[in-house]
Amino acid sequence: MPHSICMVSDFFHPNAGGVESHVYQLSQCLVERGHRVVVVTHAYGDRAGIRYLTNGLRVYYLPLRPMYNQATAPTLFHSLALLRCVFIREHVTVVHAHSAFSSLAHDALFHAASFGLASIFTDHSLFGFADVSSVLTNALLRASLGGATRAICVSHTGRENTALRAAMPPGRISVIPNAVDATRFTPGPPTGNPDSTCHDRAHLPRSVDRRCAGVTVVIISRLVYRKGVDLLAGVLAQLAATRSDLNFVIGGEGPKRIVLEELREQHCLHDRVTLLGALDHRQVRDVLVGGDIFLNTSLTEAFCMAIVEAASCGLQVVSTHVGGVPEVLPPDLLTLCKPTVRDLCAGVIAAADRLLAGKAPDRATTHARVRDFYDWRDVASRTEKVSNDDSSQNDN
Amino acid sequence: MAAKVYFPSCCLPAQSAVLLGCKLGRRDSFLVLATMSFPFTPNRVKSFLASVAPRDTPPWCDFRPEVLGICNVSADWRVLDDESSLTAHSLCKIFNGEAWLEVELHAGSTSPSSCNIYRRDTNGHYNLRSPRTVVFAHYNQREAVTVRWLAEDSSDFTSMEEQTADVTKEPSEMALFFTALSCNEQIFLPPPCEDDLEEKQSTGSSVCLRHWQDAGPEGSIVVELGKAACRPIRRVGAWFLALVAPLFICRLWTIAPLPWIGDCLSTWLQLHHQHDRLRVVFSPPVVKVPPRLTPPRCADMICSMLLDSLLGLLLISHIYPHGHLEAATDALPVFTQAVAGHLQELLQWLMGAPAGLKLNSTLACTLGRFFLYHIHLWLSYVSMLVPYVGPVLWYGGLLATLGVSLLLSMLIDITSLLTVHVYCFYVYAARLYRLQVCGLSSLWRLFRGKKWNVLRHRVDSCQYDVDQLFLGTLLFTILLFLLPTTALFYLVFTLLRLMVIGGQVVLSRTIWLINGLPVFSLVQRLLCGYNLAGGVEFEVLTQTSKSILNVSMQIQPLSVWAVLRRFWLPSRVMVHRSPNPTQLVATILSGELVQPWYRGGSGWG
Amino acid sequence: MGAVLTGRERNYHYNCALGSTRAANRQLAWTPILGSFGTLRRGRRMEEPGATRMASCRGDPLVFSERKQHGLSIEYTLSSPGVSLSSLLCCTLAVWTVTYPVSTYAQAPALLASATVIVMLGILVYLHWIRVQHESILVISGTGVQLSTCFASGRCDTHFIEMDVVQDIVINEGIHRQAVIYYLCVLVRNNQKNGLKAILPVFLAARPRLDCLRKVYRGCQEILHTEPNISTCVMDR
Repeated sequence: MPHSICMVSDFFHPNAGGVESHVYQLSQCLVERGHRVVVVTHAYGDRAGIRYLTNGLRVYYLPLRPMYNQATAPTLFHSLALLRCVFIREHVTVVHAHSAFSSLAHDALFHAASFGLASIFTDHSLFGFADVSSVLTNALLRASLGGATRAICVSHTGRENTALRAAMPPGRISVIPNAVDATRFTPGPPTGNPDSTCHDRAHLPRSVDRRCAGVTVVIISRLVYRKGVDLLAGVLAQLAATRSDLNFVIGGEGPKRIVLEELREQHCLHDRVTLLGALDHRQVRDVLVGGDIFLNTSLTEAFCMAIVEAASCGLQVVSTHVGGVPEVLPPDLLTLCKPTVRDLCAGVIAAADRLLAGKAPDRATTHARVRDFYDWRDVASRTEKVSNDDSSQNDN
Repeated sequence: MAAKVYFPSCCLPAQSAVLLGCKLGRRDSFLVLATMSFPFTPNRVKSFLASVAPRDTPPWCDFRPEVLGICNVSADWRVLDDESSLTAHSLCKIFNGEAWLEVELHAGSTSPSSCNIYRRDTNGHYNLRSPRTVVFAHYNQREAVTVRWLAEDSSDFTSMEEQTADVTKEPSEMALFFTALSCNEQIFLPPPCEDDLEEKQSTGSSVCLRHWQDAGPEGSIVVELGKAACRPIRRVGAWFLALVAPLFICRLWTIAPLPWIGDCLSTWLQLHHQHDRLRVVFSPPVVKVPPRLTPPRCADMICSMLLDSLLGLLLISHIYPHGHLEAATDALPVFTQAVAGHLQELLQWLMGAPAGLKLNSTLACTLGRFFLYHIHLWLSYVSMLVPYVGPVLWYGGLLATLGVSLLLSMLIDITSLLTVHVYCFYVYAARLYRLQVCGLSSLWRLFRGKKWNVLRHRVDSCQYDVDQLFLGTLLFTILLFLLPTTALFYLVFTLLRLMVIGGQVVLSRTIWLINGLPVFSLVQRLLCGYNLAGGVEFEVLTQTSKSILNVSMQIQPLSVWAVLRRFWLPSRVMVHRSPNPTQLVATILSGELVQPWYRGGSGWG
Repeated sequence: MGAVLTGRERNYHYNCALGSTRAANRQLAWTPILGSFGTLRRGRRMEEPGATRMASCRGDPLVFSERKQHGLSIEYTLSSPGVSLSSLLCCTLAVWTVTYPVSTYAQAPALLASATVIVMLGILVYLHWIRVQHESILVISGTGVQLSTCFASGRCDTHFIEMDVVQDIVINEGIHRQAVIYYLCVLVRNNQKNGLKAILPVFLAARPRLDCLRKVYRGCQEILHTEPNISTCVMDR
């Protein structure tokens, strides 16, 4: 039975990130399966009103002012009239809200419950229980998930976390992992997009040319506290001192960038550590295939899409053992370390030695394995099952 | 697309007549300028058309008048007059235009019953254009000829002149319409050979035209006299300006401090401004090709200057005979004494415990004495200045004959000179406060183990010794506890300074208003609105035929707001925008100097 | 017409014959109060033969009328019901009944007078600048699109857009205040550079529903994109 699904989240294109691409890909696959999907988000700059994306995916950019970190104010009622209008116009049967950080999603869950619509909530992140912001967000989540019929988490760790935080019976929470568009992350030489300018090419790592000289470690993440940038700085300092055959390429932008810059200056690592700054989504693959080892130092992670992308490109992946990371890839594709400098260094060195000894698995076979693990169509069909289940429950 | 015929509503002929006019660009649009009734000789018509052809047409289009077609007036439109249609055939061969219009008109009716357009093909045959739908726009010729076309897109249009190479883009049709009308004004003037009867008879019959002033030119004696007087007045003015000009372009003014001083003196700027305007007014006019597509800039300037002088004269006639000037000069010493008294009181109050605040009494005393000494200095400065203020005011006041704006700018300068002490107080207090705030912020960074990296313009982390940290913390504490005293002095003097600036801003706003107001255009807009056209509007009239749409085209006057917005004259003062309140508060809090925002140059008190 | 008429006299005749309604509107604009009574009376006989009743997206009644000139021009007008005299009177009376006891209690007759003046001015402003009576769009083949808004006082704001710069007339979706609505708009091309210069919404005050907009859209498109049917006829037989 085709549904009319309304995806609600504060985070959507033109903003870039994991939730944004998740919402987009899921919507596209659901449209492909014959459902009617609209996306509701808040206005980004002058991008307000109604826009159409590929396959007639209709996006409502509601004129609500973002308050903090692209999230609207959690007032519950200032979005009521517009959401009601959208629900009625689009004959919405299922409201699908994304991300616990998004106040618009919470509002939509609440209003969906009051309009008697089925509602699903997808939680993309893990939270603590101790600090002020988590306590507040958890309270909000408990209130809004009270009305939601089902919840989806991206990993089993996330499910456990959500069940505890939102006081939701675990039976109502499903686990559907994220997926990666494996066709875009293939091993092979960096092609460089045909439309990318010469500047972009010059901007890409020099290490690509120097592959024979040593091992290149790639780090791609937003440079914020949560992604463990301070940990990364420690690891870099130690690795650079002990192993002279390691080069580092760091992609991403954020407030913690200064930490890495200082590190580079203090240890004179300008020739070995390349800071690329903010990367366009299209450039990510080219940066990845230029490296040999992918390093992830996150302190908390529900589902790390970056390591799947890296593995899909055939890289050795070294990551901290936190959150849902162990569920993402099988142990032979992933080196897990405790989130300490010493352990991470040991992990990277082991991976590098394996690579230099020629014992590392072939890139193409790794890619072939990862390609079969994750697919957006699979995610869409599983989400559809949840919706079916959900609406039948609602009818009873 | 339907073809268009612009037809002057005053020219609807009573009998069959020939249409004179021109084609508008490459479009299917025809502008009828006048009708010419039978009988005539073709050669005579051709020579007439050659004589009235516009001498300077804009490069992008050809607006020479030609015979466009014929208008048949019949008592009953169903009975076609063979004879007239025969004439029509022969006529189109004679005049051999690119297109030929054939309008059928029912006698006594205002709208045509049919309108056919023929196009000449390569063989010289005339083919009926298809589809045969025509929009017949009646326009009021009198209004359309006297109007200035100033729609929003006319500015793109003037830029067209330069880039004539780009012939693919034409100006808008309305612009073409008004340009064609203003280029062909010659056709509306009475023929020059009227008085020479003999010649007229020798060349055959004269042409008998019908247009908005065919009964004789309309005009006002005042305007004609003004036009006649324009040239000699301009000569005299230019000669006078040539006398004055060395004063302004003298090389003396380029010597080091003089340009800076000149920039600071509002009076000097205003004098310059008046001089520039006079130069524009008296310089020979630049002939624009579409003459009626530009705003009446010169007239606006003249009127604004006249208004300025008139206000100045009124002011003089009020002030000088009643002795206000002397009274003001006499009151000045008393006034300064009173101000000084108040300031001394204020400082004494600040040196104690103002508003119950506990300040650092030693620092407050030191600062207070410092400023008291300054008041003493200022009093002696003013007592030195006072004898000169009277004569300066008296003679300077006479400048008001050149404009009240000049008087006002002089007032601004005098205020600046007399309140130099307020400026000094403010600068001292601000510098002190700024020093303290900067010190506090850098010590706060030291406190957190960071420092400002000057080379990279960013905050770096830094390892400090215990000694450095100790000394820094000590200094931080001292500065923090001394801050309220300094801040209070700073606040009070900033308020004084802002009061002075506020007064000067009001004066300079007035000057800006007087200088910028486009008086002529505004009066013209208010009295006879259609003279400045901002657009056109159409109204669909009753229908007489299936393929003809009768519309009446009327000129829409430019809105008063648009007149003010687009014709506002530039002036030298008030070029800065006033800062928004949050910006101002931020500047004050950070201790940077608040610049007076009413003049162009780098300002001082 | 007479044999010898000067230009000015002929103009006058013409104005009487053709331009009378527009001229009358202009005059009304200068006398707002008289004008408003004019529209009050006109409001009652608004039912023209071509008019149909419609509703706006807020549910207010609208009268929709169409004037078509055989493929050459089309004009759609949306009129809202006129301001009723009784509502104006009620408003004035309400203010008066509130102010009167207050002013007698406070012994301040100036209060009553100023309240009356303020109400009068308010009504004037309302009728002259806020209350929209008719809105219309007129498309003339090969000439342009004219949007006009007539206020309750009889003042008319007209905006004419030449056909050269009209890119298209489309129905768009937008968010207006707290609702998602459809609206008709004229896309204005930038003539010097390529691209859009402005999007001018039509029927901004009336905000009709989609069925009404669809009718207007079809009519306008017909005029905007009529292909000439080719037929040739030689003059020289």
